[in-house]
Amino acid sequence: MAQLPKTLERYWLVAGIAALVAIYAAPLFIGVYSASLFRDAMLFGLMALGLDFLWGKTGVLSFGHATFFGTGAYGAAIISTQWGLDPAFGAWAGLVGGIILASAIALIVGYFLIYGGVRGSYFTIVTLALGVIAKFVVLGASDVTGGDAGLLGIPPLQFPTPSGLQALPEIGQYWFVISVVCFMVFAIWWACSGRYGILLKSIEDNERRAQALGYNTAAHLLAVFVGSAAIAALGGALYASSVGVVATDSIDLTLSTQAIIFVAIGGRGTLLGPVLAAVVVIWLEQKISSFDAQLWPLFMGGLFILAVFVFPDGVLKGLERLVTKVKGTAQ
Amino acid sequence: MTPLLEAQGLNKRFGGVVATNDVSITIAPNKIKCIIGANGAGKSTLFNILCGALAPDSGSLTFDGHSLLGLPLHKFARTGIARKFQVPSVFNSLTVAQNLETACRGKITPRDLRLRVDAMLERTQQGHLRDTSAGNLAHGHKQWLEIGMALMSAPRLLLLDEPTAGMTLEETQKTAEMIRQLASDTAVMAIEHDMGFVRALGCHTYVMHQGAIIVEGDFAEIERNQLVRDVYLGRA
Repeated sequence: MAQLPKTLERYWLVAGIAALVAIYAAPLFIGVYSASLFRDAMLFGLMALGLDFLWGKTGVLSFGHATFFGTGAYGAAIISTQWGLDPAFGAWAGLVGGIILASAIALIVGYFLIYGGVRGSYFTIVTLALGVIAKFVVLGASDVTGGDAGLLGIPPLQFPTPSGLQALPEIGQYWFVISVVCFMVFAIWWACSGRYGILLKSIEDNERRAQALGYNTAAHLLAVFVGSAAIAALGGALYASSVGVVATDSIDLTLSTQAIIFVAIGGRGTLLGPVLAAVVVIWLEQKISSFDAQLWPLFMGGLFILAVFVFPDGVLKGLERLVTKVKGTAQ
Repeated sequence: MTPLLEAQGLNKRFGGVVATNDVSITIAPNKIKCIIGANGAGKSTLFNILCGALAPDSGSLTFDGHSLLGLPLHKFARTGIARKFQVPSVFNSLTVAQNLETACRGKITPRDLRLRVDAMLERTQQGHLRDTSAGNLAHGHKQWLEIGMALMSAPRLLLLDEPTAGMTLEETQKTAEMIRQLASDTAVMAIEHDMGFVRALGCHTYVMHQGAIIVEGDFAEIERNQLVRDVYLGRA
């Protein structure tokens, strides 16, 4: 960004602020129902952000990020509905508990994998298995998880209002969720913008070299893995409390695959790209499935192939390159 | 003077092959020493033991009086020993300046970091390459960048594994010059088989042959030594 001319930088800033205003004002124009779909898509975007923090910044690809999203969602659901807690407290306890549970799983699994020297596609394959195991656990422990039927009646988060603790109206929930998502995108971007981002990139590039410079690369990778799992779990836990329902589709392999597609389409390492991709892809899914449910998987596959072959570093960067090219020929 | 690094009786076998055989070497602060030997003499094995990448079967290795054996690689690097790998090993996806920044571990203000990076760019004569991606550097510049990276941690001992491999004659001379200047701040232990380079350094030299050190002394003496001529120089 530093090399960009000042005016261009200002355009980006203005565009960013305009986009933020548009997102916050959206429910007033598209209605509360559409806005709630957008809100849910943003939470899947949070999972994509978590994955991008890991895959985009360190090159380690997890094929099991739905496990963490799902653990966050199920953790929140089980704690808030089955522990007999007061819903006002239970919803928050579930949110925190779900995130802690997912982080603990990531810490244990990640410790053995990362300190055991498992890298590259081997890491991806083991995390793939993690997702399969997670689904079996959910189906097996059906008296706790509800099995195929899932869990219902998860209480929404409650906030202090002038008339005591209360759940927010739809529009308030929407604002809360998008604020959390925007904050997380900014926080991860900020954390990776300086020396830390360069360090992670150097580990991706040549881990042994980074070790020879005195960096404890395994500790850094584990920290990022746990952080990325926690972000996905935050998305899952918020999803559970926003929608009120959790089922196996928020923990199974299909969702893990989708997380990867969001990041691939949005542009690995761009952080904002995967979140936007999640929103656009989910919106497209709604539109196309309502037209013909069979069409969607076909379309999704096509989109993925397109992303890999035409925009290997994501649609955002692909467009950026296209614009520079067009500008180049114009001059 | 008490030695900075002291290796005693290092042995390492790979199956039936004796890679290093009872090797003992020392280096004092701010000195330059070279280890030479033909291919397969055990130089790289010795180097890997000295920089912590390999554990010896027996022997001792101390740095500043503390044993180094058994330390994980990153802790080894934090003791004050920096290494330059044989194959240029820079972060190809980062720029030259970012490579140097990464190499400077620890807390430092952005301003100081920039000053140190600038100073190192100056020292390795790569100021004009600051924002070039390291993957696009010419071979010689990659080697210098890596030496620069090794120096960013202000090491007390710099280990160089064939620093001039693949360099032109001119680049080799320039590297020797650069390394001679380094000795004011750090000890340097270089493994080489390019005689021109070792001659330009003109330092105390160990000669390895079949895993053992057969002769040591000033390079001028080494060059005159009949045994060395037979086993190494005669064939070179």
